[in-house]
Amino acid sequence: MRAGDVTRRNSSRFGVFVFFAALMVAGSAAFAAPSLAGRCLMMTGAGHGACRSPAPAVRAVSPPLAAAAAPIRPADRIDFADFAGAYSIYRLVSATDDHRRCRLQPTCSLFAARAARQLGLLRGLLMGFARAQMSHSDQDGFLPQVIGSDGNFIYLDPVERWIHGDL
Amino acid sequence: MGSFRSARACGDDPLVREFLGSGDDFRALSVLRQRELEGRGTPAGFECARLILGAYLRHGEFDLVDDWVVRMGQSYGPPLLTAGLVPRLRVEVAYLFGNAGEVQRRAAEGGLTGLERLTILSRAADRPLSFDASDASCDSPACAQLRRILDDRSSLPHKSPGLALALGVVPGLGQVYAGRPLAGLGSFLLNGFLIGTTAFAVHRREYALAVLSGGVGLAFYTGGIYAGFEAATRVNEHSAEELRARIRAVPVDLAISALAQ
Repeated sequence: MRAGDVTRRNSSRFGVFVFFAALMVAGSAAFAAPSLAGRCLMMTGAGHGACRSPAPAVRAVSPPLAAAAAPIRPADRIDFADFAGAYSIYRLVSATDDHRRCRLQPTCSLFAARAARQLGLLRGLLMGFARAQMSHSDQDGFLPQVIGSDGNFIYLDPVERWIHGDL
Repeated sequence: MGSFRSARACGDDPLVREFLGSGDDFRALSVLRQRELEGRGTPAGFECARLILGAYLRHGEFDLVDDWVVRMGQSYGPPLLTAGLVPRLRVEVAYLFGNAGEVQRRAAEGGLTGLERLTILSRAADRPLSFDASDASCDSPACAQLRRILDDRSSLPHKSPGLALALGVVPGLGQVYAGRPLAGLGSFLLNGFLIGTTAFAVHRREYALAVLSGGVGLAFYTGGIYAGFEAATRVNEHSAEELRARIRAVPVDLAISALAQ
């Protein structure tokens, strides 16, 4: 093997990486924009950003009621809808199991998508990666539990539980 | 509240008795609302209103209780409903809601005095870990019980989220500190694998792999630090919930309970 082969091999691998990255971005963009995708991925069952139209900036209310109109909730902020569709693609791939594997509800991916929607992209991602590494149990009775379709417990740990007030 | 006890029209209504007796409060309420409307302003109507209030309270429908108390104040006056009782009832509803700020706001709004017990208990339940025990200085038995509960705080587990955050520099150590050794070990192995892969890729000059595993590793590493912080906060929140439940169980004489009986 000649000395230049190593560099050539690395370059070709980097090219493959760039190709797949570009493919992911293009696919994600198609799923994220309903106008491009032309349909909603309702099969993911998550009510994700691609299927939800953005909240109107100004509500159409009659003048007497205008003062009483509630402000737009910060929970509805959309800065990067469900990680640009990556969540939808992941759900399509992972939806082939008969039973859920994750013992937490919502699952870590859905949790991260919801957290990103409510608290912003960076914090949502951070919380998602944190939750994936936390104990998937009832955490000494801290998390309420229900019985899943496979007969095992599922522990309820929504985004709201991660927002702590003063103790 | 003595004169209305003779009027038992609603309590004696066979439909109401049947529904309440069988535990069907929903249907009982629809009959009671009708009867109350028919007898509004009279002792019979007031009896119905009390039964409605009791049903809402039993089911923890505090927003309905809040609304119904105001309506009772609008429809009934002395001698059925003592003058000035409604503001006090609204404070008690806020206490039952568990909202210390609202208790204080309503007490100040109504110019009410003699509600120190409720104010102290609601504030203590709001922040059971940081509440200063010397603030529970009233002389009632409820306050004495509250002081005993607050004295027990030291026996409950407590973890420093700041220390967990600092320990998180070593992947998983924050969670181990917070009492989650298995999760900490898993976090350590995962991060070790990703950091090792990145180092290996850099050593082999496989930069695409290094960027990929390094990016994922960085995300999991920062997530691991946050996980330690969160685990420690949860320990404290668990303790706070236990204290809160004990504070909420402190018996307090409430006018709304007497009215709804």
